Amino acid sequence: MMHRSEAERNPSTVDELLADTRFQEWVLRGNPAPDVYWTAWMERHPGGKAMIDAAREVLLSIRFAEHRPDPSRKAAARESYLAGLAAAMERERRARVVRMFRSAAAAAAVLLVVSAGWYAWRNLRAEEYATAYGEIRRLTLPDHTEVVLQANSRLRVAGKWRYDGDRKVQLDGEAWFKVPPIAQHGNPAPPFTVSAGHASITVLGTTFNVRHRRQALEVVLVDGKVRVDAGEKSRVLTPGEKVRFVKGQQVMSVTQADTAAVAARAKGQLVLHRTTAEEVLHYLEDNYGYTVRQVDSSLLKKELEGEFVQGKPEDILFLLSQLLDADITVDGKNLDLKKR
Amino acid sequence: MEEHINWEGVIAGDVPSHTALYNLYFDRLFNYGRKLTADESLIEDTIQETFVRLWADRQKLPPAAAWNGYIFRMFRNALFRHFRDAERHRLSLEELEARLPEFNADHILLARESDAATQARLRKAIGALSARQREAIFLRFYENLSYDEIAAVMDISVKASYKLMARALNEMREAMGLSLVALLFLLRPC
Repeated sequence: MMHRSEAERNPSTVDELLADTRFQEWVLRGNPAPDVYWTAWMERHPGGKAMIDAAREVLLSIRFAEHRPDPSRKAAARESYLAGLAAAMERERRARVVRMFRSAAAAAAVLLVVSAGWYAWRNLRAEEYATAYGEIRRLTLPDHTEVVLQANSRLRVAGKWRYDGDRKVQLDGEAWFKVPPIAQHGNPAPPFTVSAGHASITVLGTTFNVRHRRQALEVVLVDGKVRVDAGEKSRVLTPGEKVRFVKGQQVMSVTQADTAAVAARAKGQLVLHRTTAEEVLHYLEDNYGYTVRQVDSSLLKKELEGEFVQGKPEDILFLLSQLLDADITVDGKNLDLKKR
Repeated sequence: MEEHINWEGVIAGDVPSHTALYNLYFDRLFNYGRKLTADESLIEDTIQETFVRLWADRQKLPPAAAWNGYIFRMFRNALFRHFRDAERHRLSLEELEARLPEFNADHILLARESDAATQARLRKAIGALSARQREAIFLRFYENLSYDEIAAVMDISVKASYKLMARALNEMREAMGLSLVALLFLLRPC
């Protein structure tokens, strides 16, 4: 730690003592110069003891406020660091593959063509799962992540997954995820990332629901921890929180969510609690492909309570007409709602 | 403190060595950063960025003896860069320069129970020090960095770091009223 530099000379005044690192170390840390050195120094300099006492007084008067990080924020920061480290490793791995690729090209062009084809076949083959209107699909991904893909949604699973690489999926629509943690002797688990629209959700073992419809992203965390990144905004969610981000608006709003309702989504149910009729109609459009052609605007703001089981849309429409006290006419995929 | 770190492991890209280094520095950099700005998210982001970059640049690290100053320097540079990036859209250039992170006088405490008048003079002297002088004192006395390291962290010459410190200590000595004559008189009986 001690470092001699040209700035350190033989001190002969109080100010030179103050700036002398050997003197500072001696006063503040009791090292490295032994007391005898400074005893000898005092004898060499007239008024030496007073000078040393004065300098000591100044040094001992300096103290600093201490700022300690909040433990939960510190833990969240550590997780972000580990995720960042895992991402950096993955970038390096990819760069290595590219380098290997180039040397292969230099060695044998033919081999390159063959290996490129093989590599592309193995790595670039993305799996895509899609659901039709009214359909729900349950999937298990290679890392044992459970997914419930809601109606009219698409999930793309990028490339071949390895346990030391990122797990990336792309979502258009709505899905419920249960991501198992992967412990690796204290090493960072490779992050699981869901991208939806312009945002991404980064996970390290957790259960959550993502809904990306009509330019709005909603993420509800059931348990564990996720980070949602959208543009320059970033937010770590704790269980029970719901974050909503609308494309083009630089605001991420966080509210408390009904996690029971979210859990019911995984079973295909739609729980209504102070849900407006307008939201239910959006749901019918998004998940069943209806178009609402005509509706009395007074109906839209009505709040509904209840539970829909994912099933025949006719049943939902019947229930809706009862709850709203309205006549619903179905014309192909068009709906007209009229107050009774 | 640094003895616990496996330096070869860091250079070789051993993950536990990197996370150990991160754990060792997190509180220190947080404490330092908090003296320069109150924005804790910015500090946390910057620490993360510093150590992810340390990972990526691990083969270009200086000799192990210089790492302490190097890590503080990386962190400080990144903090200023982040601050500029974050505020560029909001502030004019003058406002931006005027509001750069700097060491606040409140973070220096008065340790000794001296009389009220001396306390007040000392507080005034600390307030009169430049933010850079306060930062240099912190790095020297709290973080125990050498003049060489302080020079690297604050991007000045070693000579300038020595001068910055000497002037600051001199001003504090004067504020404490410890003129040499008075002291000689006071201390003679001992």
